[in-house]
Order: sequence, then C-alpha cells, then structure tokens
Amino acid sequence: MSTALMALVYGLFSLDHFAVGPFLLSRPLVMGGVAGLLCGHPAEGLALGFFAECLWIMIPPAGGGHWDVGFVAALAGVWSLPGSGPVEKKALALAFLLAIPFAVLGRQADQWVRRNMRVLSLRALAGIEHGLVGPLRYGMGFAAVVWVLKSLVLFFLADSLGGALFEELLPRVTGPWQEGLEQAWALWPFLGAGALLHHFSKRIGNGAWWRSEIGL
Amino acid sequence: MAIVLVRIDDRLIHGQVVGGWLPVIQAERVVVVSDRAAGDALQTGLMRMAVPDGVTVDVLTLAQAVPSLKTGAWGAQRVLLLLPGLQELAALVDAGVAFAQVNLGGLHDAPGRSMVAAHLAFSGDERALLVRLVKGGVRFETRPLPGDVPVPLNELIPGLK
Amino acid sequence: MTLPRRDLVRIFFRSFLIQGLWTVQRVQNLGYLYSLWPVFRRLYPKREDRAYVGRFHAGYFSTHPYASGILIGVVAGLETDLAEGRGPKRDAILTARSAMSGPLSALGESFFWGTWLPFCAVFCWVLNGSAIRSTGWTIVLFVGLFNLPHLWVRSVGLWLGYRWKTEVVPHLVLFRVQKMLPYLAVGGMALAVWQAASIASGEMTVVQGLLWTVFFWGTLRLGVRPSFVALAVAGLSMAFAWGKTLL
Repeated sequence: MSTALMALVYGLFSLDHFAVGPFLLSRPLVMGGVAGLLCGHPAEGLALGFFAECLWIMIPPAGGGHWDVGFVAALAGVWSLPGSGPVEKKALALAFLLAIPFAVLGRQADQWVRRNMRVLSLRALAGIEHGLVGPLRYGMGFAAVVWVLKSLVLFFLADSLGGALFEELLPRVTGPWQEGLEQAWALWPFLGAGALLHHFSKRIGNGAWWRSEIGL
Repeated sequence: MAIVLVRIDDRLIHGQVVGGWLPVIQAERVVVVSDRAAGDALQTGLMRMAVPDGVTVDVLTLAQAVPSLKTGAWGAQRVLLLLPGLQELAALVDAGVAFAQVNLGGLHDAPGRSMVAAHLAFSGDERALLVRLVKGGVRFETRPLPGDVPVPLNELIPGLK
Repeated sequence: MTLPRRDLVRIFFRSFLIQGLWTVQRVQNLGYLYSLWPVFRRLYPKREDRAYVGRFHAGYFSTHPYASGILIGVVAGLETDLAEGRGPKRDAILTARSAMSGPLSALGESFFWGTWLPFCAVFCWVLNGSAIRSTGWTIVLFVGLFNLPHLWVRSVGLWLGYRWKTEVVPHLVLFRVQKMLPYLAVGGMALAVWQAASIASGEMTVVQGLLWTVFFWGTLRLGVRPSFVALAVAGLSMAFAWGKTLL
C-alpha cells in the first residue's frame, strides 16, 4: 500500500523538475522524507534524503540532461523502511547502494522520453506559427501525462526488480559485510557534510571578496 | 596575463560559464570581445552583475582587444576570453593573435544553422570558417561544461581534417 | 501600461510552465511563448498578427526558470509599448531578451542552485537534529524557505520588468546578489561543520567526526565524484571488516 502511494507521489512530484517551475518537490530530501512518512519511519527516511541531497547537491532540478536524484531516496526508502520495528542500518545502506544504478537507468528513460517528445514540440511550433496556441497547450498537457506515466512505470519496475534483489541480498548480509555496511552508514553523513563544505568553498572562490572587505 | 580558456559561446556570460567553468579555472578576469556587446550598456552592466565578487569583466570591441591580446595587458591575472562566434575568432586570428586551443562552448540554434550536437549548430559560413581555422592550426575542443567528455570536432563535422 | 492585472496574473502562473515542452534545439521557447500568449492575444486580436509575433519570438530561448519572470515581464512591457506605437523596434526586443537571458541564468544558477538550495538543505538538517524533530515540518520548512525568494523574484520581477522594461536592470544591480553569496556560503559551511559535530557525538568523538568530514572534503577536492566516494566508503568498510576476521 505504501509502495503504491510512494509511486503516486513520485510520479506527481517528478513533474516538478520536468514541467512545472521547480519547487524542489523532486529533490531527494523531500522524496526521502515522504517515503519515511508513508512507510512508518520518518526519521530514517529523512536521513536517507539528507544524505542523497548532500551527495548530489550540485545537480540542479532543472534542465534536460540531469538525472532524477530524488528517485534514489524514494526507492531506498520504500525498500528499507516498511513495517514496524526498528530499521536496520545495513538495510538502509544496502537499499541506497542498490537504488543508485536504477536512478542511472532512469536517466536513460528520461532522455528517451524527452527525445520522443519532438513530435509534440514540432506540432506546437507549427500551431504558434499559425497563431494558434491549442497544439502547444495540448502538447504540454500530453507531455506531462506521458512523463507521469513514465515515472509510475519506472518506479514499479525498479521497485519490483530492485525490491526483489534487496529481499534476496538482505538476509545474506551478515558478519563482516553487515559490519562494513553499518560502518558505511555511520560514515556517510560526514561525507554529506564534506560534500557541502566542498560545494560552499567553491562559492567563496579565490578569497578576493574577503580580501576586499578587509582592505587588502 | 595567462589566458586560461578561450571559449566561443553565443550566450556569452551565462550559467554554464559562471557556475561550471569559473570555479574550475579560477579566472580573475573575463574579457568579452564583441563589438555588439561593447556598444550595449544593458548587456555590459548585466554581465558585470552576473559574475562572482572578485572577478572583473572587460567588454572590448575587436579593435580594442587586438593590441591588448597581443601585448598581454592584464599582468599575471588568469583570464577567460569569451567570444560570441567564429567570426570574432577568425578576425582575431587574422589580426595576428595566436590561439593554441579553443573551447567551442555553445553556438545555439539560429536561422541558417543546423545542429550537430546539443550545444552546437553551424551555418555554412561558419563551417567554412572552421575549416580555415583548423587548417591554420587552431585546435578546437567541444565541451559545454568542464566535466563533460570532449568530443573531437571531426566527429561532429565529418570531412574536417 | 495598459495590460489589465488579470493578464499579468495569467502570465505569472503560466511562467511556472516555462519548461512544459522543452526541446533540444530551442530549449524553453515553447514555454516562453505559452507564458506570453495572453499578451499577444490582448495586443493582436487578429490571428495573422499573432502568428507573426509568435514566429518572431519562437527562436532559441533559455534562462533560469526563476528569472523568467523578469524576462517575460520585460518582453511583455516592450511588446505593449511597441503595439501602442511608442516603442522600440521589434529587433530591439529580441536583442534585449538575448542580452538579459544569459546573465540572468548565471545569477539564478549561482544564487538559487549554487547557494540557496544547499544553504536551505543544511539549515534544515541542523534544525531537524536539534529544534524540529518532526520530519513533516522539516520538509515543509525546506520547501517553504527555499521557495520564498523564488516566488518573490518571479512575481516582483515580472511586475517590475513589465513596468520598467529594460530600466529594471540598474535596479537589479542594486541588489548586489553577488556580495551576499559568500556570506551565505560561509554560513552554510559553519552549519555543515556544526551538523558533523552533532552527529559525531553519538558513537565517535567530535574530533573524529570532524576529521572524517575534512578527509571526505579532501577526496572531493581531488576531483572524485561524490557518488564514487560513497561507493568506495561502503566497499572499503566491508573489505576492512572482512580483513579483520582474518586476523
């Protein structure tokens, strides 16, 4: 049930970086948090979301070629969080690692859909050149519907394939593998903080601004 | 003066240049060589506003740029040279400025141009200019962003070199 | 200034769809045309005139989606002036548009994606750990805080761009956005360090946590992609744990 809800949320929110002027609803922070809320473990979902957000902080939610980083948080949340009882750290780490290749595949699907929208855009342009906005409106509506359907199909495919893989692998993660994954989950937030430091330090640049403030 | 990057981009200063290239090349000065932009106070003011603090923007006409480029006018500063098109590059080369490598960052869709890549479109005249410049020894690399994989020009335009 | 407020409101809402039908060749031109269509319909009741104006504006267009408010406002203002006879030549509208779209995209990129988004993320991360323990409210805060400047730039930009046309640029300069960015960046870095310290106070000492943070920053400075570092951490941790069993 929560998987279906998450798929719907993902499908609708994925319009955010595609068609509607981005509101950051498609970002991993929001996706991870919503996955956590829907699956009963909000804090862990949000932690997943924060980590993914920091990791991919330099990928803007607009433009044609960038990949849909919110997908990772949504998938990882849905696999590792459902049910009552405490969440295992190894489950979160494993889910995150498994979700990444699906997001990369998702990018190919995104680009394929965008390429095949050419027909719609050509008709829209032809309409405009005759003074009609109808084909453009229709094109945008149709594109949005196709995009949501694409997101739903992608989510269900990734969830069934990846979820099955997750179910297979999780019991086998014992001993040193488990210890390693739990250590990774403990270290990853520091990677997130380091990524933020790296990103912000690039904004500060070569220090000329503070030198001019001080008067050097 | 060290010209760290020579970039051809018909949008001049925009997101990819400021957000993608400037942090990587750490340029302290951006020199735009464009007769049209030099005469447009609106564009010049906006370009100055769009770059980070600590980076200066000079917008020069071709006539002003040639002596500065030939004599190395900006001390030891790292300079990003921005040109709006191949015509400006050819004019500078004809005036005697030497370029080793030029980044073809973006020539976008316009009447008369046909696309060869997502960020590159050439008209017939521009193709001829490219052939002339390549024969003259200028090397081109085509990357919109520093993290992209450079595609050799002869892959995009068959029959070049 | 003769467009009724209703039209401006319509343009404002349509500007959210500027990426609604995106193409590789001309990027946002269709969304831009859709946003401006109420203006064209008001100024040119005849379909042939609309076709001419539409064809004119159908070229390559790309800018930051939030700054599109300013640009659409300026174009709407200039088109209104032109239609009423006191305006610039048609070519001047396109020149102004292409002069503005590049730098506005750079500004939007540096401010919104480059600085404000990570700042809101780290701010909400810190608050989530300390003051707001609720996930729902953290998400609401993140989305709400980020979108405040977005909505402001879009709406006020549209309005002022329409009223002042290209004169809006000197007023934009007054904002000194670029001066603000390094302060936001330093603030963000401080918050990131604070967050690293507060996470660390669980299983490892604060110093250890900060050392790990600086270490990861170092690997990223060397140019390794963040996702690769994450994978490497997982792989090396498992290898290390496996190695310990051999001892």
